[in-house]
Order: sequence, then structure tokens, then C-alpha cells
Amino acid sequence: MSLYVIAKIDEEEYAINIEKVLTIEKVMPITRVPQTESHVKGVINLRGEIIPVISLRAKLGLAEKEYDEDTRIVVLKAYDMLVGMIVDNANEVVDIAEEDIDNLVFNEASDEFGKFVSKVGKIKDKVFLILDLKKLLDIRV
Amino acid sequence: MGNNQYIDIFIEESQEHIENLNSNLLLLENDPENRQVIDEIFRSAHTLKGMAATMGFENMNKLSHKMEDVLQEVKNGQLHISHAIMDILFKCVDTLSEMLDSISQTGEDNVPIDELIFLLSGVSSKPGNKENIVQKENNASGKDTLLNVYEEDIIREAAKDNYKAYKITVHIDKGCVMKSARAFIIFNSLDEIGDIINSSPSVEDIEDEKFEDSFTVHIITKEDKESIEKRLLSIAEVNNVEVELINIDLNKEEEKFVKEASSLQSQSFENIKKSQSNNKTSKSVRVDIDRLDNLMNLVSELIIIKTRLEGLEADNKNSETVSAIEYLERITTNLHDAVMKVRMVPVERVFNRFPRMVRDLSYELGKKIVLNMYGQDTEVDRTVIDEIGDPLVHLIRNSIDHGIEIPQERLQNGKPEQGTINLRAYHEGNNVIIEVSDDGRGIDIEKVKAKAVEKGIYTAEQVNDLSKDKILDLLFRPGFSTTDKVTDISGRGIGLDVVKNKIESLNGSIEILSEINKGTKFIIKLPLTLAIIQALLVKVGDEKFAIPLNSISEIVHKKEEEIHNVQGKEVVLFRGKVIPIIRLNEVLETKKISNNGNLMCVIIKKGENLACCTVDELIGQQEIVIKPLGKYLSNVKVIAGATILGDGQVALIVDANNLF
Repeated sequence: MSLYVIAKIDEEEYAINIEKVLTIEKVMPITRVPQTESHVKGVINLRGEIIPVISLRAKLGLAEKEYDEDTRIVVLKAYDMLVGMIVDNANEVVDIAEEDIDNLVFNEASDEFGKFVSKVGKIKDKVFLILDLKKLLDIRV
Repeated sequence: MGNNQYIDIFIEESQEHIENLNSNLLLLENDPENRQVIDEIFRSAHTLKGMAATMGFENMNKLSHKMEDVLQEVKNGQLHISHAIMDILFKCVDTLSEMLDSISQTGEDNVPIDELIFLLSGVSSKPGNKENIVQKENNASGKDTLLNVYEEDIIREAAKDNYKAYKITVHIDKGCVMKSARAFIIFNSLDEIGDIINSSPSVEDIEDEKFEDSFTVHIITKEDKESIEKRLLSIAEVNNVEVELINIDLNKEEEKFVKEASSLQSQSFENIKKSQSNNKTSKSVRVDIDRLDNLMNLVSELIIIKTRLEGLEADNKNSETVSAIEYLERITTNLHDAVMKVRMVPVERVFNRFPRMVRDLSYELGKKIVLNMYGQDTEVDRTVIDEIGDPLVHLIRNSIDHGIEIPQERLQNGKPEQGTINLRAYHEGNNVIIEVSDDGRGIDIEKVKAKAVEKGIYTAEQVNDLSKDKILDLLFRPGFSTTDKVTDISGRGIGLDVVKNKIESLNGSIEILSEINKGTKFIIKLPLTLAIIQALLVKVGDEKFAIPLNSISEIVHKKEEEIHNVQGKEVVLFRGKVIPIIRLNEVLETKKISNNGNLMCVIIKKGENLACCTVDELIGQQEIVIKPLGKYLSNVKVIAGATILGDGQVALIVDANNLF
């Protein structure tokens, strides 16, 4: 059994292992950083610490949406760094059993989701796409 | 290995002991009779031995043990300090430090020690006696304490004045919580009635609670057996006391040791007391640098909140609130200063390796050099201290190699045979100044001029018009070396240009003063900290950016029509020089704001080069705390980091060095 934070983009639900989540914040002022890729939104001041922020929508190749009351910054703590990720909504935590998690084979070249998802989890007949942070954060090992 | 969590502490502490050994050995070399120094060296070697054994580093343990044996003989006066012994001891310290390096890299102390062990055994005069000492050391229960010759001498001498010697074994209650404290009381109590000659285990071990529940001391006193027993049994948690009178053959007396021995006797416990007060480490706490950074972050946060409260205060008429906020402001300012101070370390940390270096190099080159150091306690932020070591090593090597002449030459020139190198550190405003000066031959201006012409940097005519400072500045050019011969010590291709680069990368500066035949002085100016800098806040588009003040030369107004296009690049004339224009709104990808043809220009400098940066608005000068952008954005070249402004906003810091 492991806990997953559910981040929403439109109606799609993405699951992030809760151990990789430091905190979930409401949208705060973001300072733009020049000479970066388009998915990098800038940096925020998270209680005195400077943290880069990326947009999951941009990463998935979707159009940006106005930030609203539901918009959240999920601060990920993975691969020795802190990165904030903007999602439409994140207010649910689910418990997915180990045996309900399956590997997914996507065609990476053609499928945008396949770039950042390598597993899916099931709870009853609901399916969650589990984000692969290594791919999402461009970690090359 | 289960000791992993202690390895960092072990390495750090060992380093301190090795540094301590190094500096005290140097003291000993100049003052071979100084008992206190010998004791200090002995203690460090002893502690190293113990630590190495605990951590399971066999070689290190063996070597320090062997060193300790030799030092013990020196301590007892059986061995006299000679140049040969000093050399071996220095080599041992070097090897120990090699081991430590090896441990920190590979986790093993695989450094060959056989040769040193052999050398150490060679100098050791009485192998038999040595074994006794070892045996005594290992004898933790202290049942068979042996008196060495000197201690016997003390007893003999004391007997003349009707003092009696006793062997006292004290058993402390098994449930005693603070054994060392209890032992200390017992020692004090004994001290009142007589003099303690020795103890087993050693006083150091007893202090560290390295004993079971009993220890043995030898004491000379005028009191009788019963009163000693009574005295000791009156101390709480003392279970049992065995007092035994010692009879020593009074005729077996050797006059020459007596003087030494009686001084030894008075020192034995005094020293320990003194070392308690001298011991700096006992008064300090080791703190992980991450925790300090965290503390620093929290303080920065507090300052930000305070600034916000001050903003609210303006609308608040309640005088209670106003005074509370003013008080808060005072406290946060003090707190900030205090935290900054905690991050400061004395330059001593860098300086203390130099005496050894000067000693070794001057021997090697057959020169006589004394190194004077001043202001070792000058404090610098630890971000700076880690970086200045190498440049200083380079400058001192230069002075030894090229500056100071060989003794004959010095005498011929009417100078004292011994050359002097002065290393001086002091604060000046928000900077720390470090000077390296020597009284050597100085820099030959004509030679530098000739070299400049030879290298084609200047023509013969140009060179004669240059000021002395300008000519000396040539020495900082890459590949510019005036020495004809390359030695092992300096002149290995890494020149003063490397030193200059390093210091400039720390936002510092360096200059040379030199007078022929009088000497050379290098003056290094460094910021106190790299974590907090003075910066100019500007607006580009509608965003705020910070430009470090030390890379700004000046601020000027220019008109759009003053900009010329040369080979597709925009340039402007500034003080008779053509310098490039950098439009910050383009580099920083901000909104373009119409300026009616008027440009606000910040002239930035990188070494000798200038560039003109256009900004839209000047906000003002401010002290800012530099924070990294984070690993994820580590490849953004034009941004050096970020800082949090008073209102909690993040402003990016422009990296002037990477703009052009």
C-alpha cells in the first residue's frame, strides 16, 4: 500500500507518490527566469527558499489555463532537488495497493502522456496515471 | 562499517589534531625544552591513537602509537630533540595527514608506514622502558602501576623533607554516574594534603571516564596512612580505599634528574587543570553547516516579515503596536548580526599551514626565512575562507622562491642573513585585507619592461611611458613570468594570473607594491562574505533585478542617437573608449518600455573590460542575501542567483561576468 497525491489537469488524474511531495501550496507570485524553456514558469519564495516552478500543462503539451482558486503548486522533492509543479487542482490523496499498479507501455514518440507516465494504478474501476518524476524532471542517469 | 556516522567527526577532529601537532612541532623545534609544548604534542598523538583505534584504522593507530612512544621518551627527558628526530616527527605528521586524506576518499588508511615505524624505533633509545610505558597505558584497572625513574627520584627527593610516598587505590561506587567528576574531587582532595606524582589510568583517561571503577595514584604527603584513608572515605560514592606506603632505596639517587623531576611533579596536575581552561574545543560546539544555512534562512524570513509589519505599522495609530514593532526590528537586526557572526571563522584556519610550508621550503632552498603572522583571529565568512588558501600558498611560495635571497647574497647587500615574510590580515570596512610581504630582492621593473617588449605586449617606446603600477600589473597577465629558471616550488606555469582570477572570482582585488632590493608586498582585498552583497536594484521592463555593486563601474545617461552600429553590434563611446551596449530587456526577455530616446545605462566591468547595460529604472542600493536558483535551473547563465526582497518578492541577480 502506498499513498499517492492526485493532481488534476482538466479531468485527467495524475498520481504522485506522496513520499516525493514536500508540500502543496496555493499559487503565489512567481518570478520569471529568463533564458529557460517554456515549461519553466520561474521561481517562488517558499518560506525563504528559492524554488523553481514548472507547469505540468506545458510539460504535457497542453495550453496554459488561468490560475484560479483551485490551482496548486505541488512541491516535489526528488533527485536531490526541489521543484514546484503547477497543476489545476490537487486536493485528494489515495491509497493504491501494490498489486493494483501495472507497468504501461506507451509509444513515447507519438504519445505525449507516455513521456511522463510509465505506470498506472487502479482503485476499483478508476484508473490513475502515475507520474514518472525522473522523466518529468529530465533526470538523465 | 558501523562507524560511518562518526567518520565525518573523526576526520574533522583528526585534522584539528594534525594541525595542532604541526604547529606545536614547529614551536618545539625552536624551543626544544618547552615542556608544555611537548605535553601538548603528546596529548594530540595520544588522542589520535585512541580515535584511530576506535574507528578501526590500524595503520594510523600503529603510527600514532609509535610516535607517542618516542614522544614519551622526549617527555621523560630520555631523548633529546634533534633535527633528525624533528624531521621524522614531521614526516609522521605528513603521513598521518595523508592517511586522513585517504580515509576521507576511500575509507581506508592504506598508506605505507613501515619505513617510519623503523625510523621511529631507531630514535627510540630504551626499548625496554618503552614496553613498560605501553604496559602501563594498557593497564586500565591500574593494579600494577609502575613508577618510572623520574617519579622515583621525586619520592627520594621528597623523603629528605619528611614527605612519605603512598600508593593509593580508590574504588568508586559502581553506580556512580559521573565518575570523572568524582575522580576530580578525589584529586583535588589529595592535592590539598600533598602532591600527586602520577595516576593510572592517566589523568586524561580518567577525565574521559576511561576507567572501570577504580584508579591508582601515587602521592607524596606528610600525612599518615589513616588520615588519608579517612579523608578519602569521607567523599561520597567512594567505596573503598587502599593506601600503601612506598619505600624507595634512598641511596640510589641521581642528582641531575632532580631539578627536572621536581618541576615535573608540580606540573603533573597543574597542567591538566590548565589544559582544561586552554582547551578551546571544550567551549565550542560542532554544528553542521547546513543547519547554519537553515538558521540563516529563517532569520532572512524573519527580516522579511518584519519589513511587512513595518509597512502595516504606517497605517496603525496604536502606539503600543508601534513600539512593539520597533523592538522587534532591533531584535531581528541583532539576531541577523549574531547569525552572520556564527558563520565567520578566523583566517587562522588557512594561515596555520604556512609555518610548516615556509620551514620545509626554506630548508629545501638553503634559505633562512622567518614567517611572521599577524591578525590570525581576523574573521571571514566560511564561504571565503575555503577559497583563499590556494592563492595565498602561491604568493608565499613566490616570496620564498623569488623574493628572499640566499643568505650570502643578503649579507652582501647589507641585509640580515635571515629573510622575513610577513602575513597580515585585518578588517577594513566590509572587506578583509590580507597582505603577503617579504624583504627580498623586489621586482626588477626593467626586467618586466624588457619582457613586455619581448612578448610583444608593448613597444619599447610605449613601455617607457607606463607608470610603475601599470608595469607591475603586467605580472598578472597569463604566461607572463620573469624567472629564467623553473623551479619545483613556483614557476610551474601556474602564474600570478591564476591568483588574480581566483581572487576576482571571489569579488576581490589584488595589487602589488615592490621596491627593488627592499621587497615586495601583495595586498589582497576580499569581501567579508559571499552570501550577502551590496547590490543595485533596477527595473527592467516591469521586473526587478539586482546587479552586484562590485561589478558596477558607474551609472550614466545616454541618448539613443549616441549608439553606433559597428559590424552589426551596438556600441557607445564612453570616456574615449568604445564599449558594447547590452540591452538588458533583450537579454532578460522582459517587456520593452518606451524610453523617448533616453537611456539609463549601468556601466559594468569585468576585469579591464567595460560594457554598457541599459535598464529602465533605478530603484536603489540594498544589501541582499544571495540564494541559489536551485539545481533544476543551474544552467541559466545570465542569472547568478536570487534574493528575497523586503516584501517577499523574489528578485533575480544578474551575473555581470556572464553578460559579455
